[in-house]
Amino acid sequence: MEDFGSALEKNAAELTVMDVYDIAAVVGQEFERIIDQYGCEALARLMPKVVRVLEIVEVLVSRNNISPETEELRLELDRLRLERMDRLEKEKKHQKELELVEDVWRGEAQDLLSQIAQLQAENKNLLTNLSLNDCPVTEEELQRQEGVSERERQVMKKLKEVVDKQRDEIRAKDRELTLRNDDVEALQQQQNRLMKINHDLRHKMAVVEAQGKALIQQKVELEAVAQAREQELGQLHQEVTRLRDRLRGEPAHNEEEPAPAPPQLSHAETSDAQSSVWAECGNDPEFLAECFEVGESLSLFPGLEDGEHAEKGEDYCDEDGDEEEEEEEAVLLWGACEEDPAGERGALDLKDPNRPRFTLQELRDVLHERNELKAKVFMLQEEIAYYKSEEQEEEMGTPPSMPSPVPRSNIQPESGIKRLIFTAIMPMVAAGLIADDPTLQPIRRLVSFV
Amino acid sequence: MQQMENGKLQFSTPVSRDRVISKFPKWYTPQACLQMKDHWHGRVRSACKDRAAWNAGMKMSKVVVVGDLYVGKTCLINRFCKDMFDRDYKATIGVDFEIERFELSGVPYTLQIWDTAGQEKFKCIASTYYRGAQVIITVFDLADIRTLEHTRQWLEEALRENDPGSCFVFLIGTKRDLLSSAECQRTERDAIKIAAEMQAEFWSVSSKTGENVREFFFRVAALAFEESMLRALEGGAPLTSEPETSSELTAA
Repeated sequence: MEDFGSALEKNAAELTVMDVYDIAAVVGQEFERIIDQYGCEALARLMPKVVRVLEIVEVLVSRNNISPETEELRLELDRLRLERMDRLEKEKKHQKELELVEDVWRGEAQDLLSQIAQLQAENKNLLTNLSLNDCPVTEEELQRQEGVSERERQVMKKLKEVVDKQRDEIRAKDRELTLRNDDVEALQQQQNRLMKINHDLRHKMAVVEAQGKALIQQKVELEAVAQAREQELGQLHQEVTRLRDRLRGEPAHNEEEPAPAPPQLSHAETSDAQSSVWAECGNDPEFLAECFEVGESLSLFPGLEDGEHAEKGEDYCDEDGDEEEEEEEAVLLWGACEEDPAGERGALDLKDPNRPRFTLQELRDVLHERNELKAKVFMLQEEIAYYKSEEQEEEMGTPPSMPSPVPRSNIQPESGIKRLIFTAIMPMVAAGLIADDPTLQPIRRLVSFV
Repeated sequence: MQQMENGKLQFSTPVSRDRVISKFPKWYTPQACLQMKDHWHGRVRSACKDRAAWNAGMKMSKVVVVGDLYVGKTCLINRFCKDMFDRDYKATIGVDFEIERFELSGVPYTLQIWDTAGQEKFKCIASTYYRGAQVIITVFDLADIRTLEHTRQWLEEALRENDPGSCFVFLIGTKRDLLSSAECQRTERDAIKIAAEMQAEFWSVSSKTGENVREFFFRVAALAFEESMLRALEGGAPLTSEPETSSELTAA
């Protein structure tokens, strides 16, 4: 029964002849029921019509599925249809995929485009920069740039070395500079000291000069006293001889001349001596005067303890041989008499204007004094010459010598005072011509500096 | 007066130009000379370049001139120091001295030349000045052979006051201008013999004409200077003064 129902539910196109029979069966059943209920007459008229429709359906259905081939074809058709559907679906999928890919690609393209734009902008920038640099960029240059950077590194290294070296040098120079500065300072101090010494020396010299003058004054006074004494002595002597003559008595009365001889000694003779004894001492009048004065005064003074000394000396002339031991110290000056043919040396004659007058010690003293004075003169001459030459130098071409004494002394390592010390003072001291007094101590120290 | 002018000259340039000795002076005759070399001692030459040498150079050497009276000691010194000649004789009283500054090889040096009296009566004074001499100059008259014989005695006396071997000795014949060349040669032969005996250097000079005077004193200065420098270099300590000489004047 179910089959019948299924045939009814079937699609019209799918209906087969069997299905139509099934449907006719179903319809006949329905009819039987109606006949059972209402009798044959109710259907008498409907029956033929239904049968007729069924017959048409049968024909129609049989016409539809003519053969199994058609069925196969139909199946084939269905398959093909399915295939087509599949393909369409695939196509759709592909399409979708494609779209997706396209989307991605588009995105990428967009990115790239933007990148391109960026790069172009950059390129433009670089180009402008390059044009500014005014040199077309080529590959060669790029390569060269690499080389340059290498070289640059080397140059940098070298520069660094040079800088290091220079720094060291600068440090050394700095140290040297400080040393030099110290030297300069020391020299300045030395110079100051020297200036002070010079000042002191000049002061001392002035003092000594003053002392010398005072001494000369004193000497003149003493000489005056001595002269007075000598005159007195002469008178005394005269008296003594007169007394002696008188004592000898009248037998030797005839000789009166020798008596007045001694007094003549006093002045006329001394002046006589001046021209003869000292004439040979050179044409230096100062020296002559000096010696003469010294000689005259000293001839009196050594015997001051016993005021009779001068007299004794004269006595000794008379008694000659008696005082042998005195001869040693009283080697007497003969003056020019030796060369003078007239001055025949016999017994020491009181009348002889050239007779000896001075003791050996006196002569030594005179010579010593003369030597000292000569040394002093030499030194003073050196100093005068030095100052003169300095004046000349100033006149010649270095007017601002005094305002800048420090650089000057630096330029001229041999300052005048040093030269003076070296060439004049120190040798004299060394030779003992100048007394080595403590005032020269600074000079000695100075010498040790140089 | 003249000395003063000299002094000025000496000071504007440190030492007068005619007292600058740069080449080592030669001897008079090789038969009687103290040194045969004609150049400075190597050590002295190098020391002269050194500033320190000036210390030694400021030393003064003492020269003593001895000999008979009237042989011309004073004239010899006057010819050299003052470049003058006085025909008249004036006996020297006791002693006299001159100071002469030199520049040797660039270093200043000073000679102190002591002129002694030749007269016998002054001997006791003059002899006190012999001490501390670095150079002894014995002078004789080429025209008077006796004066040559006396030089031995003079030298002996001068050496008595000094350490043996500490002095340079020179034997000088003067008044060469008075002799003919033949006479001169004869006398010089004798003198050279004596000079050899005395270990002295012989020179023959004339103070009147000035012949050989300058050369002789330059030789003296050079030898004394070199000796002083060598002594200073050996001693190490700078020589500033000689103790003997400083007391000498006070002793005299």
